[in-house]
Amino acid sequence: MLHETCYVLRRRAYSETSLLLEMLTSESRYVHAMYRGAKRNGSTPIDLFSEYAMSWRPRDGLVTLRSCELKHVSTLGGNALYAGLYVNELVRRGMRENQVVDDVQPAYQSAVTSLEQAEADLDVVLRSFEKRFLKALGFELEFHREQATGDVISSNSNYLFDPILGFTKSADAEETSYPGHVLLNISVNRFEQPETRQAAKLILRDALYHHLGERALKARSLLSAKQYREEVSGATAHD
Amino acid sequence: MAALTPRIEQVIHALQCLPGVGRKTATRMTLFLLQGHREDAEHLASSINEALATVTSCAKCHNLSDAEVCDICTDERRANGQLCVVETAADLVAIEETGTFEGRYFVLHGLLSPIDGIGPDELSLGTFLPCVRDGAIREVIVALSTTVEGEATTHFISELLENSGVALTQLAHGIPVGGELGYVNSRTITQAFERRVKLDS
Repeated sequence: MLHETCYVLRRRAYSETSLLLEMLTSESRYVHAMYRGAKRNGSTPIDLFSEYAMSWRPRDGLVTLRSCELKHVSTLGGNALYAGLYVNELVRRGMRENQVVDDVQPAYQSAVTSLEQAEADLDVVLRSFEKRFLKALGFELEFHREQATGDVISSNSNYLFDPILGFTKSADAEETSYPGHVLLNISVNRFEQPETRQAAKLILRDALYHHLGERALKARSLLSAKQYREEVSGATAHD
Repeated sequence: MAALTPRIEQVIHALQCLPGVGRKTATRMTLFLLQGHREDAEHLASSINEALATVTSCAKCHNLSDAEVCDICTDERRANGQLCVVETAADLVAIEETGTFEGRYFVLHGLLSPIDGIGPDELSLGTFLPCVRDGAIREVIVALSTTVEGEATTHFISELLENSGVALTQLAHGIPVGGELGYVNSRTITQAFERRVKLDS
């Protein structure tokens, strides 16, 4: 019997009383599990971002939970919830059933714990997670050197980004190029400057699209609620 | 020779789309209808056909309705400035059965769940703000599940209503009436403590 601490990333109803769970275990394995009787009185209610002590008999494919106890209740709220849902969607997009990817669980736990802090800077948490997740999947981005030549990024030069080729020096400051000092800031997770945040968002989005598929991540639509409100109001005003 | 003909099997298979109905129950239902209750079976089939042909989504609140606009939305006595947001038509029915709410509803038909591909566009949120404005709504009452998806949807609605002047309230969370504290999970107890109410003394 396996006993592990797990986060539930997705849960779906199965029959009247059971749930199908997709979980990230403490061993960084993405497990699909059946939780029989989950909706019965007295069963541990399952929610996202909380930690559960679970046990199951290991096997390929869907496992059946033998026990489930709540260990830590999530306190995520507000925009941090949206950020958490984005992280869940990203992990699901990047991992297959029963796949183990070292460091994903610590990265996930670190992101969720950071998001629970009242003063959490969502952009910083998300960019840091994206970098770490890509690295765990084997797609590390080197922000401090050119991949092709091995030359160190110069703070005074400009660079073009390609998800496969990495950064290459640009002769001019093109519209699509990034200043070297911005890349060096991203490499050490220093996101204080708006210019750095914007560049990190664009570069990492580009890399994620390339490696995890170009289908848009749904959670991004939540992070722009104000834009949605304007669109809805605008559409109504024109009707 | 098979005990059940293909036509009967077809009915059994069709009935299994209902929640909580497995093959055994579906077989029992099918044999019940086809053996001695053929009139009931015809009535059932014609009722479902008629409902499918006529029942639609209310243009205002998205509840199931026989007309373009449902009875609740056309009832002037329900225009009290309150709008209750629910996830499903079943939730609306549950609230109506209590007889405690006299305002109007807005049915989302789901909750925000990006991992399942459900964002604002997949819910009926596009018509939410017009519904609030056109209905002269003063208070929006959120009656959604207390799951992460419910909380995310509630937060999204709060953002939609920002600076609108409309009051936003949420159903209370806590110990269920008639429930024993020992059987309540720790998250609910934590929320019940945080949202405790003062008693008159």
